[in-house]
Amino acid sequence: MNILECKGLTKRYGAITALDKVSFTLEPGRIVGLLGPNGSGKTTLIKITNGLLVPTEGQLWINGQAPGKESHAMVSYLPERTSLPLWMTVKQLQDFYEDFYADFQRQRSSEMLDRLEISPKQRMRQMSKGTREKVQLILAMSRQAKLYLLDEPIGGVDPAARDYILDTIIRNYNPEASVIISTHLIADVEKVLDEVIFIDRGQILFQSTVDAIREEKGMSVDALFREVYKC
Amino acid sequence: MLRKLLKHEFRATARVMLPVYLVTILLALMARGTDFWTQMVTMDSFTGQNFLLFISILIGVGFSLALVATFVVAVILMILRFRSNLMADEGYVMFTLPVSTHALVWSKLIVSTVWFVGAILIDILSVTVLVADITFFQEFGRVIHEISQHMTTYMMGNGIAFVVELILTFLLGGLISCLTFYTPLAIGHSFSQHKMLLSVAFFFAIQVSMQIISWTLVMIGVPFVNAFSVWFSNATPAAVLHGMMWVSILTSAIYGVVLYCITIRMLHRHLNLE
Repeated sequence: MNILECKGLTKRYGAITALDKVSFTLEPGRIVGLLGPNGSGKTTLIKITNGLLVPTEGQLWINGQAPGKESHAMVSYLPERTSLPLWMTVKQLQDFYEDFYADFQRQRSSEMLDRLEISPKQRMRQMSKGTREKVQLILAMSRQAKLYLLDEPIGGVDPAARDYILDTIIRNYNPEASVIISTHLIADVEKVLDEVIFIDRGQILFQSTVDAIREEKGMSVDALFREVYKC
Repeated sequence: MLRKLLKHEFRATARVMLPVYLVTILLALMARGTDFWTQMVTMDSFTGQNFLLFISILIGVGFSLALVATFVVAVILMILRFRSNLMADEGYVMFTLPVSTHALVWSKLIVSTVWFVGAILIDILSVTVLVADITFFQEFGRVIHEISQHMTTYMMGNGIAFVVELILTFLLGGLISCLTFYTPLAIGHSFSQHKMLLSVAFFFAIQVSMQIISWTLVMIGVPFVNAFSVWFSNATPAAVLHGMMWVSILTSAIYGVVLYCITIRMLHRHLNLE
């Protein structure tokens, strides 16, 4: 069964079409880059997959389920912005995730936090923006989810932190699960991707494996991205 | 899952409400203490007496403010929690939990109503602390006994039903107070800009609409006044009272259900987090 299937997905905001008849499928066990420039519809697609937006037209299934509380139990979502309550301590956030997600692995999250020397007693409010993003990533990747939706996971952090984040994703994702990484920082994520979906102005330009791009077009994903989206 | 949501909602709000309750009780104890100390401490100098009086007045004013603050803080917290936890950045976490939108809204409604009830109980307790002595408790016991006897005889055994109706009215009032703010917030935040300004505008729009609807219903009811008068004149006082209570409960419930449905619809279909 496909882990994600979209059929004719359209989202309009008045006269603006954010997504236009998007259709694609995704098999389990893949790390997929959802690539496109700013405003191409990446975040809209991820929000619809998470049930945060309702499509104007079309349908979507996550492991056979429409977006809702059943699909939320299978999807681990890392939003574009830090959205964890700032008054909570790291320990309270672990309690929160443990309470709501049966697949949350507390031990794994504690190990990652230890490695980054983040104290469980520390409040989110006391942390820098970068540290907050790391905590949010650690919590998301400490789940044994079927689908990980990571919206700009490396957008706001320094290059050293980017390596840590990508390493965390590779080492912690469930091999039977799929990961969708939405980004426009192609060079950084290219090394971890199995597959890419190029999106522009709400439409899927193409979906291909990274190996096929290298073999057939003789260029890296980053080079292809620059060629496709040349201004 | 509602139980878990309630646990976390209580955890998030108790850090504000419990200190407010505690301060109210402490101020009541201190205000009570000033009675004793003005009686026991004798200060010869005029300045000393004035100082004691000043402190007593300060504590008294503080206590009066704290009595009001228990409600004001509960209401402000109810609004802020809905906005920050569901309509702002935290909404990305809350709306992707494996829980229904109904559970999310009910957790907020229940916890806010509990804090309203808590505010009433704390205010009653703190006023009791301020004025209570042995005579007070004796008198209080006598009054309660008298009321219960009076109600049971006068209401023809319906005293308990009347209390139940009162509690129901109060709880519905608490829930509707929350929804009165939740609904315009949910509508206002479905727009991409000026979310708070639009929420305030929708708050007033809903209030005005309710007034218009209420008056329309009253006008529609005018031709039936005679029929009601006949019923009123034939019914016992207890039946009239129960009838009025249930009409009030049912109209409140209908209003509450309408607001609840709009809120859920907006959160479910038109959620527009930044």
